[in-house]
Amino acid sequence: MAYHFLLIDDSSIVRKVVIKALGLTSLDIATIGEAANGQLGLDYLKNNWVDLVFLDINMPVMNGVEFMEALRADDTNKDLPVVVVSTEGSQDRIDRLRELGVKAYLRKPVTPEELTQTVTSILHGGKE
Amino acid sequence: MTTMEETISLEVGKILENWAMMLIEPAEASPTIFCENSKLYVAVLEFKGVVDGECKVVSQEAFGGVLVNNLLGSDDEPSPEAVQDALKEMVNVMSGNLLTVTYGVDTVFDLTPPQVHEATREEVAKLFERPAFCYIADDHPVAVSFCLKV
Repeated sequence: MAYHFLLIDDSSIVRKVVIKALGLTSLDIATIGEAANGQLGLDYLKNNWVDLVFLDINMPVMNGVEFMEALRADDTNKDLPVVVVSTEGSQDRIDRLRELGVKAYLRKPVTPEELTQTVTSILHGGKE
Repeated sequence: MTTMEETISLEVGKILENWAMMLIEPAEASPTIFCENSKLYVAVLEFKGVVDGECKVVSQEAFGGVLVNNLLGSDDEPSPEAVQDALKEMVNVMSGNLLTVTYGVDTVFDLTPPQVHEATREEVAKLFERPAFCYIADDHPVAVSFCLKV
């Protein structure tokens, strides 16, 4: 099965790093969509199938928490797995994101190994 | 240096080593660490919470180029847009981590999206009126300022 990913981060460098890290995994990747903020991410989801979203929190226009609230209010995507990749260290905000159904939280700086392990665990139940 | 300043200095060094993948050595906290004829960038992020303040990263253009290449594992000449984007991400990573090591995980801060601009020598000199944490990273000077608004 080939997977479809969506990266939502206002930093093009971060998106490139995540794409590179995904390319190093043995996952079969069909597409990797990119969006520079939460609103563009929601727009992308209207027209594209996605298996897993990588989400930043601190972004202009629509931040990561607002994106999650909008995503969970939409029946079509309410179960879509989301991995937060952020510098955010506040436990309250992490708890709020977990309440909204975030599958995993990775604190920047993230190593390719952490990324690989997390994605594999969510998509393959830990088996690469 | 106070205990808090030592904590910040150590964290800045860790981010440069572990995230930016640079070899570092401490440098004098002075605007003279920057070459006189080089283009300087300041990346800024403001935070609001139990305290308000801002984090700034000052560097020469060449530092940004090395940062892009280290992050992407590339040897290509990076575009000015990529350099600025990398510097914005650096101040983002610095701010998030410095706020956590100084105020803990139980404190919530709202961060503004990072901004970057070309800086004048006067602006950079003013930054050194407050504590600045300076390193030579992969042979390029970089200064980080983490200030509270009073």
